[in-house]
Amino acid sequence: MLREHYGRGPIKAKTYALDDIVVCVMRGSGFTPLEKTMMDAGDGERVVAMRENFQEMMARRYREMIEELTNRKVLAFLSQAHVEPDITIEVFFIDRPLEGFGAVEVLDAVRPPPPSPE
Amino acid sequence: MRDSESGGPERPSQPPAPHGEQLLGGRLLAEITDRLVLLISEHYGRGPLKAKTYVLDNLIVCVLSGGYIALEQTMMEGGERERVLEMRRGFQQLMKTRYSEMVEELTGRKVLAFLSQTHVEPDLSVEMFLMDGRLPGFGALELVIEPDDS
Repeated sequence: MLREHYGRGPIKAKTYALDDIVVCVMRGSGFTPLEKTMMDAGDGERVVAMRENFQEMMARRYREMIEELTNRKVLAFLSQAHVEPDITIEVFFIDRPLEGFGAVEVLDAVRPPPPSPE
Repeated sequence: MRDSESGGPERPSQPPAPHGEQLLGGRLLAEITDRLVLLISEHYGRGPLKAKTYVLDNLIVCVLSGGYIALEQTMMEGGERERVLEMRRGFQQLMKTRYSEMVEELTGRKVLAFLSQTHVEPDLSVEMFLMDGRLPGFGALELVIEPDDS
């Protein structure tokens, strides 16, 4: 979707499922020639604003894609771009947790003393 | 009432780590959550109703929900939703240094970037910290259950 509609996609992208949240982290999206020109002119903030406007315009498409793949309703979509380091994060809050994901925490257990020989 | 959670499963309550000791796993997540909620309560006048922190590789994600102050409620009812969002965004940017210092102190790592977003209806805020390296004590475990041939 990003390649199709922005003209350039990220170098790295990873998606995580956390309870009822889906987080997509995209790194190294690179800059289009237009963005580079704006950055060189010290207008980095406008680049961030432009990327955020783009994400807002794409919100409906993103939501539909997530809803189709997860079979869950998206209750909220948050998106933020950051320049230097170049990272964009999309967060989808869905109406219930996804199956097949969870967390296991392993704590150092206090071992009981070995049984004394009889 | 605030429901402060760590990103891990239910765990027995543990005493706070002695000063200078590096917190790991659920204890680190719980401490970040508590300190963030405390900062918000102190400086915004009211903290979130729910807060939870996750670690994803070199990214720390704090999810906060609930807790409009009376002023925000009045503005929302008056149709000033965008202004509430703007006010919250402004507040988060003002708090950037305090939040980052707290996370750096607890993790022993440097914050490379701070990202913050707010959503109304449902009332959600996400604070994200991109760290200069992975945090120890976190990972993913995938359990695959083979189909039973019998």
